[in-house]
Amino acid sequence: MGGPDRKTRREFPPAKILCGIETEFGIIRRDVEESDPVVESMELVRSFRETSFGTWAYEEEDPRADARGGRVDRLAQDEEEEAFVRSDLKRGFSFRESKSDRILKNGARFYNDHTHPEYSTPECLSIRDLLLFDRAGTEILREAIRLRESVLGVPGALGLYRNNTDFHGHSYGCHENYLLPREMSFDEIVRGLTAFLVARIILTGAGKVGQEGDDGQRVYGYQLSQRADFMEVRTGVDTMQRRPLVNSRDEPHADSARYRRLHLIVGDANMSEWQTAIKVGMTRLVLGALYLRPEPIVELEDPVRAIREISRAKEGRVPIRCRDGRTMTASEILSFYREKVEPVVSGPEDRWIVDEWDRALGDYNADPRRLSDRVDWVAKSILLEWGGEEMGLSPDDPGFQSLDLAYHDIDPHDGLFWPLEEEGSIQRLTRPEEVALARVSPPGRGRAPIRAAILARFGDRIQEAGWERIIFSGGRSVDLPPALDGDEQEVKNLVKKIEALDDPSGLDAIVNAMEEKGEKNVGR
Amino acid sequence: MSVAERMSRADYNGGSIPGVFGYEDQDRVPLPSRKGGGPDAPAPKNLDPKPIRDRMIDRMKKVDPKQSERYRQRTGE
Repeated sequence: MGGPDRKTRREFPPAKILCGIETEFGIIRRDVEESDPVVESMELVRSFRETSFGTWAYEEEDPRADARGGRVDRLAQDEEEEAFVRSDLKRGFSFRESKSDRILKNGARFYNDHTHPEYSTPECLSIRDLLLFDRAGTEILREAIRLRESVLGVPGALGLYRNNTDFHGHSYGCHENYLLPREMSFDEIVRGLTAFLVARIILTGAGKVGQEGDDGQRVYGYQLSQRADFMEVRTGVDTMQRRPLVNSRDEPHADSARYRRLHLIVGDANMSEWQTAIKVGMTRLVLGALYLRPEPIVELEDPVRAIREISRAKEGRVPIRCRDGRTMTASEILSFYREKVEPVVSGPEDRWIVDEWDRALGDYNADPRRLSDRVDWVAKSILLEWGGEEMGLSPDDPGFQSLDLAYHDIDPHDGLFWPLEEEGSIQRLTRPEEVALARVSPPGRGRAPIRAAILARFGDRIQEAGWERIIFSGGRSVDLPPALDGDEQEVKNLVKKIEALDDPSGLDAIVNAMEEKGEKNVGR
Repeated sequence: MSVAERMSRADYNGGSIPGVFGYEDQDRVPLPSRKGGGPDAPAPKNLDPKPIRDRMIDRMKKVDPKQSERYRQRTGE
């Protein structure tokens, strides 16, 4: 396998890698002994009214398509999923009612996914946009809580958590998406990226009290990553069981002859904006470097075991065996990757990422506590120390897990993260006035503003809409190219043209022009 | 506010306020960067044990210690 060699590849800098993140939130009712998570998640989503469109185009989704080839007949989670669907149907809700999918005015998707409210950012071309639209999601969730609680008549009834575990073996994700040229083969991505994904948790981990998964469960001990316990295989198409370090779902939400979407499920849900920025920023640069030089940088002997070992080792410091027989620490692996990305660094945002990468590794190597203003696992461990001392908790006290959970509470008055950020003890990279705008407006570039304009102009004539496809009543449909090129002015001009259209048929010329422009970078 | 309404605003800039999400913002960095970490670098503003610790202890004492035992979610993705 493998794509064309580097000499035949067109220029595709990391800044052209369209990216987005999808975050599932844990949800509870605090005011009742028992509640139905399907109903709670569904009603929470429905309570948020600032939507742009409400009928999702599920036909563009195919979680069984496998980038390693073909399409699997069944997923490992099918049996459990089917049982859930059967029980959900007994509640009297249709599939669509249960999902309650919404496309928001800012281009994001907000829906009930497996009983978790999920917010997916619109497609973004800059890390800065990604942070703004991710943070806007937190504001949207908070507003949805307020609205739902007003209906319930019980302030404080709902708790939402941006984390990845219920501490009882159930995990939910914060997935990353990177749109790549199709010529970059899945095999070369897996071989080149896996060691990086394993090692990056020393900078991207959200921290967790206890241990879960097939190694047994315990309430004590502290580890760097929330997700490491749940990673079971190196690669695979499943996401709810046999979770892979590199997911092979082949669902580009774009022309599959030209693009592939890398869908990563291995990452933690971070509270720290800096970590979200560095997680996606570093990964995008590594993918850019792999595109230029499609060869493994470091290959680990057993990456699944390695991510657990790093996560559970004190400060993540443990030697990891590579396939060539040498051993490397996570910090050494990240330093090695850092060196390899230098040739693809272009522009101030890339430079910011690598400068922060350098600084963070330097601080980690000197003393990880120096990362307490950026890294959740470090900040949380300090809080747990304080709480344990002050409250006299024994090391195996389950109260530590409650403090861990409270760190991820998105309520600004209850969550343990927010005072740290408010006091400046943890860096905030976004400004509130920018986030407020990102809540109601799409990004200025890429496909999202075009989709938003079409939904605004022709919403009453649209039957279904998804990331890529918009289906009009009567059968006409348009597939939106990812629009990796074009500055804000060009996008603004396209939006004006869409606004001026009398009939959706006029979209064809606009889409053709977008596709033609896109050919410059990613051809067939 | 609809796209049409936003476009009628004088400050409309393709779905963004000027200079916030713009393409030109690729020339901006999210934060002033302090180059180089490690033992000789100036310490970042870490958790200050005095005022923030007291505030955090107060907040942690309000956390229900049994919350995590009751917390149950379905597997997601």
